[in-house]
Amino acid sequence: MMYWLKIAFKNLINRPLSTLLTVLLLALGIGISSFLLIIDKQLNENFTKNLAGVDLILGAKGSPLQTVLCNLYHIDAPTGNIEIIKAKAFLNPNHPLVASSVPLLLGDSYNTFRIVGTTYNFLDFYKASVNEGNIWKKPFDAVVGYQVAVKQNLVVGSKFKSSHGLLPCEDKHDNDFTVTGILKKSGSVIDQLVLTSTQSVWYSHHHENESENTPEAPNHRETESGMEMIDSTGLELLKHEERSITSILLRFKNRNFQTLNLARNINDNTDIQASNPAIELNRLYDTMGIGEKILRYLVFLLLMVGGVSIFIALVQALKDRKYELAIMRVMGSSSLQLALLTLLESLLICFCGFLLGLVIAHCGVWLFGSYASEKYKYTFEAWHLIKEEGILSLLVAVIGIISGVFPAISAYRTDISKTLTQS
Amino acid sequence: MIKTRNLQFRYDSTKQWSFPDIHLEKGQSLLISGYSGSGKTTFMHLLAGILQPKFGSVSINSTEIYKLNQRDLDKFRGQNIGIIFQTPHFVRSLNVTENLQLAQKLSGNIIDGLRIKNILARLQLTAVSQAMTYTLSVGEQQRLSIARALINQPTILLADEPTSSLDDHRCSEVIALLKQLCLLEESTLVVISHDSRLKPHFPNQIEIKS
Repeated sequence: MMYWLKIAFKNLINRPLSTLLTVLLLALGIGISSFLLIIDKQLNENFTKNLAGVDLILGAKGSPLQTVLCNLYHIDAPTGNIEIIKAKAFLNPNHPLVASSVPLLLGDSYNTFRIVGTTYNFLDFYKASVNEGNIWKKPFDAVVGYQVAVKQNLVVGSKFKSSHGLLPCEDKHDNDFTVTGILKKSGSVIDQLVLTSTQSVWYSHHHENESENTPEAPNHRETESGMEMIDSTGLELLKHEERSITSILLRFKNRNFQTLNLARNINDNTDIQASNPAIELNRLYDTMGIGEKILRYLVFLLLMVGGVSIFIALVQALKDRKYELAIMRVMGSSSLQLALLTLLESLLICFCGFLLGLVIAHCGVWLFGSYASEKYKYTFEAWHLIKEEGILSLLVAVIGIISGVFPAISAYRTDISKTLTQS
Repeated sequence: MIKTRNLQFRYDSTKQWSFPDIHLEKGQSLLISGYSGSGKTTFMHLLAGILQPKFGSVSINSTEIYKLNQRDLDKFRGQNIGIIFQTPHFVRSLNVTENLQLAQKLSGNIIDGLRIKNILARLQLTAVSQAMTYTLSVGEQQRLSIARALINQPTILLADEPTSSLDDHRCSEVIALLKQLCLLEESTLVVISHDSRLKPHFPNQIEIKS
């Protein structure tokens, strides 16, 4: 067997250009399918992870999809703020339908990484934990996600200034944040966030409002200079019912008609908008699904072309080598041996194409991942093999056999005497 | 030894050949001559076990070769029959030594490096043992095809027009070499040729007429 593998290999590299073309075509098909499979799988995993079991998002009126993208995936801009007093029932842990809730206050950033003012519940929602240091305890304490720490070289004790809005060039606030903790790597969007108390965000804005002499200002200066308290739970947040937050993420105890009615009620009768992330995301998938379908057909086409190119390459090679095959028969080779040798060449091309395809796919995921993590706050794991690739390898073997079997039959049927007299 | 009886062949109904019976013992040699188109090559293919006759039999070492099934015939051919073709052809992707290894492997023998070295030395091919076959000169290619035909010590060595492209001097040289090697390897030599220069070299001759 090893001997025949060697012969097949030598036959292939004896016509390097044709072999290279065939391998490349096949690798392209396999590479793109594998790439799509990996991205699709990790996208789904990521989406589910980032969904964090949230059943409903309460935010200002606007596009529900935007609310979801902004508050769960941290891609889009917020739709606006809501006053705590209007949503106060949902921050109360005794709400009959709500299992848990977490408020979010968005709008500031540190070098494109979003700053999220929230409560300790946020960590439970994402099953996150502090890896180094401690959780925030005072205003302007911050706990940063794994990627934020890595990309901005932050350690416990580092200081940084936040800026208003989501771009680094916008106005910087005066206050210094202090990093008190760094989160464990999770693979979800939380890796790319800076977490702090709602107070930190309120106070950074409050400093700017000071000159405008808003009525609230004196009151809060006192709080700030005095006890330096922060709200670590939703219940504590209720003390500041005149303040605003961006949204509240809700998990229900049970999903039933009551919770459906609740969402409808909020939307129909209040200034708040309730968005169901599962519904919004399904709508988004449906829209993007067409593109994915087209890509799948394209991949199928590429694989077919790869198969046909193996077929053509082998038929051409056998034509060039028919005298060789006849001579091998004369030297004692059986028809079956020649057929198997031809099939082996086809499978060898497929194997090389498959390996190269995997390399292309995983390098592609790596490149795409480094782009996506900046642009969409997504992290992709590039160097893990997935089980779908095992299935792909079987598919490739089938392609190899199908495109090799007809040339193999023609090799099997070599008529020695006729071939030799035709020289 | 080789023996044929009442061999007949036809490609289609218009043309039919009948070939004379031959009988050669170990170490003997035979020249089969005839004009182009007389059926010499057909006769050779019948002797070589690569073309099924319509009638008659070929027996080599007391084995009636056309009574073997296809797989056994392939094996038998690899082990017992060496053929030198008019134009040498080799497996292009393999070098000189690898081509001889392939001949050993395909015949069902084990790959014997020493045997290959010896035969290459005898045919003055040692210097090109690692060269690709298509880089060899015409003379080297012909000597390599002799080496390949003899590598498995065949009972019978068939040579199809081995001298047609050679000058008088080279012609005598090649025939002497073939005869000497067959004596050494104890093979029966059958040369098929229309080259009249060969006639003085062979005590046994038959002529094919169509």
